[in-house]
Amino acid sequence: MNARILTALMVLTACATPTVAKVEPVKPVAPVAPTPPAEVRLPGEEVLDTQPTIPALSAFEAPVPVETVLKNGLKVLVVERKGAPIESLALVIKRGSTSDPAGKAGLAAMTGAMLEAGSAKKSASDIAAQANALGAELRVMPATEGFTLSLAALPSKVEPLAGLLADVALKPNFDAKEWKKVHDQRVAQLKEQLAEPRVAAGNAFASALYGDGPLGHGVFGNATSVAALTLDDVKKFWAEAGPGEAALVAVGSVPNQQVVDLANKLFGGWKPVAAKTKAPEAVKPVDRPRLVLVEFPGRPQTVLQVGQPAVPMSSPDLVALRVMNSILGGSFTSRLNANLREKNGYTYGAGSGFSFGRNNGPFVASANVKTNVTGPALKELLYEVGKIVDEPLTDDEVAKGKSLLAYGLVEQLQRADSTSALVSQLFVAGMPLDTLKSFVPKLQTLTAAEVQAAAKRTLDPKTMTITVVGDPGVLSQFEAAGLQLPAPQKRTALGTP
Amino acid sequence: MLTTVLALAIASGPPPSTPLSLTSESLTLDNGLIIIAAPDHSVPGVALDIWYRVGSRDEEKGRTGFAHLFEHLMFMGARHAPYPRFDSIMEAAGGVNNASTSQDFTNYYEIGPSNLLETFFWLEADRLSTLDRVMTDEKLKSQRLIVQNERRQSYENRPYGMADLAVEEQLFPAGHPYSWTPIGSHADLEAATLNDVVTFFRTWYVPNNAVLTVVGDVEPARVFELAKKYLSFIPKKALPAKKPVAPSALTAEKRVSMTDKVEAPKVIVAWQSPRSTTAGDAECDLLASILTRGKASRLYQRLVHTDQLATSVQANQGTKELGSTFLIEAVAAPGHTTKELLAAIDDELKKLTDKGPTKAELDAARARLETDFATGLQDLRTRAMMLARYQVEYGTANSLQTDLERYTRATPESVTATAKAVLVPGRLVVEVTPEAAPTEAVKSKGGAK
Repeated sequence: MNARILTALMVLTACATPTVAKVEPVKPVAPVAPTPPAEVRLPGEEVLDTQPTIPALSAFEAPVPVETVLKNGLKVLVVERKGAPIESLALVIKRGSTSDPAGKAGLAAMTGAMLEAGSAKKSASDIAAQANALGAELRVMPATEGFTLSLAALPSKVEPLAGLLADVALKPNFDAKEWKKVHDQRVAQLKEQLAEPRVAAGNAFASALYGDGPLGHGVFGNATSVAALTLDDVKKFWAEAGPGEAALVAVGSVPNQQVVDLANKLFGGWKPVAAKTKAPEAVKPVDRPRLVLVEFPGRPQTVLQVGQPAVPMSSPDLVALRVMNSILGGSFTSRLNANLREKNGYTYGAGSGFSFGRNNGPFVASANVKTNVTGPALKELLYEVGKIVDEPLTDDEVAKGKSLLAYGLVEQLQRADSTSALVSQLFVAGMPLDTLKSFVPKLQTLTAAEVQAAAKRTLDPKTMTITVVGDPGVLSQFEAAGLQLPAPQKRTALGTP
Repeated sequence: MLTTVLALAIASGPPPSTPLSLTSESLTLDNGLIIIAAPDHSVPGVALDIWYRVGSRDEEKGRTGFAHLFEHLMFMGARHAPYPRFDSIMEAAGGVNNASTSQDFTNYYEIGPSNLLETFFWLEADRLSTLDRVMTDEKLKSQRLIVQNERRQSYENRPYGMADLAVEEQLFPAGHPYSWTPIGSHADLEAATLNDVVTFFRTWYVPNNAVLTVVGDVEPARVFELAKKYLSFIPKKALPAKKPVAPSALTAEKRVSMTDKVEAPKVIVAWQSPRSTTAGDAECDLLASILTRGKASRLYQRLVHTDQLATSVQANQGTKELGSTFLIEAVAAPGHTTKELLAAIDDELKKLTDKGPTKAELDAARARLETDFATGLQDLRTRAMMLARYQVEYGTANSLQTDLERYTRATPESVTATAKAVLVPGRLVVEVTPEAAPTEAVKSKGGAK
């Protein structure tokens, strides 16, 4: 039903852990009520007079996935957890929308859809029924730099689950009749989504930041680009993906050796392909507009997104930037949420996040704000983003960010699906396997000055691209709010100028 | 939020040895507050969930949305931890929280490192005993703006969002406690007063109206000790009787047509269905799964795959205490109408009620539910919420097996009988059509087909 905060806000913090900051009230926060003069206390209430101390916490060590490389180059990555009620199996391939050839945005995602649409002479419905009978559903999750095929069910089902996964990945039917249906459906869904300001904002923001480069379009492409794709495009795309750029990630109670044996048996025959066919990913700087507008007349809210390309996951600033983000917009008490939501009531939630990966994915600060306060809301958003770079952070804020990131990791590692996602992201980004284990120790050594320095190196608030999606009348509020911005570059809901 | 919880909590299946278990110890304080504890030492963390038996159905006339608005105010500071210390104290040490409000319940939780447990108790006790003393009009005003923004973001500016509200408002007759939505109307939110806040708190936020659950790296004895220390001084109070519910069945089909800023037509068909945990409730979950869960499901096969009338179709049993909502919704593929969608849905429903599901379909639906359940058991918070819900619905938190058996016992015949009883002509049909021609972007550049 209706929640206090939208958890999707936290998703903005990209691949890793949710975070936090402290409301070191920048400006006076909402009113603290005075204690009534003749206060009546309940008998026994004095127990509340003393805030409990918070004792030291026992150490927590994140696991290092166990890696085995098969002869054909496929990596098997296993996180074993005794007694876990769920086993998750995921095949991750380092090909996502950044591997879409020029003009073929959405091809990786369509390839995923076609893998699901029939394999080993079985129809899509047969595959779905087979998965259902195991208590599972095949999930195809295309992402920017990789895509994942996954199944999860009780650990006792691991053998048939792995068999189904291998069928889908290695023996796709790529049937022409199915293609027509899947293709029509995807194009129609992409058209439906254009009615969503949120989707239009994502399209326009990506395109403004990265132009027609590999990160310049959404994972699913758009109705136009996908309409132009053919089944041959899909076949070619998949033929170029080999085991050398894939990993089988298993999380659950099935022992490592059993997973490796299954992988050898089921995926050992996957033929390697020449590495040279890997699509290049040249993410080049583009001449970014300062202000972008996508018109959605008469809307009750405006979607604001402010950001720029940031750094890859391999950056030495990674951990410091995560702390910075937790303070700025990665948690409930973050500066952005405290200002735009709690203090000013402009929005249901404001936040920020990075998309760390192989490439320099974006940093974005965002909020859906009431239409008639768009000007002041943008002003506050820009103020907070500028301040995190320009002014020193407090030690308390940094300590808070560290605590939240550390427990956020514990939280994510409780579930097989989120653990599998973390391991998959490391694999796709080419990160060392001990990255999770070394994360907390690295956090602990950071200082406030290092966090601010990382923010300064990475972010340039004065040139960030501002995407505004909503009623065009809001433009007149910007000057009134004292913002000096150039005339907007208008874009369509597809993101195109 | 509620849907997720229920989806996780429904489970089961005949696989002979279900390895799933969820056990706990409980203690009822003298003031009626029920405490439930389930240790798990595999993670250095803890989840505390407090579940109040009050929801939007308990709102007064002219105050729709109030229970949820009040939920927001629970974070605006109490006597010993003034705003914003509820959040800042726990976040400083790595803890986070959230809350949600449904028609029947309001649920609050905190999760974090296990060293925060005593702090969680202190914060919950503070707000349960003193929130009213320090409530102000300013706090009410600030959260009202935020909730109004939530309404805009979650419904008004989201495709088909207003149709979702219409379903809730139209399926039950005017005056029925489910005939308004937890998010409420702007006018009613604006009408809420400081006096309403204080009265609502003193009426419903009392220990004998709550269940508090702790799951994590702590022994039950310690949980009970902390509960006694921090919460036993809060006095119990007489609770008002819940609103009486008038008979409410729809006797004929009711149609609602609306337009929205969307690209494709959509139809939503809704029926009143068996209330939570009563006969037929589990069958409705299974029915929803058979109809639309996964690509082998009946309505997906017919509407999306074979006839290509729809781009998506979904069914759901929204389980509630006074009467549930069973609904089917489908979005039309280009060139198709809600009329065609409805005809195809009705045709498939007729087949199902005539011949019933196969044993294989039923077993697969059960297997999926069992996996959902196992998935939920992985994390502390979901377990805490499940235990609390079981306590409220079954009278004891250790009701996993009871809950599972509802699904294990279902047969193709019982599912068919439920389908016949629920999917009757007295239903609500909401049709949404696009407000205007598709956007320029789509007309000029959209799909080449």
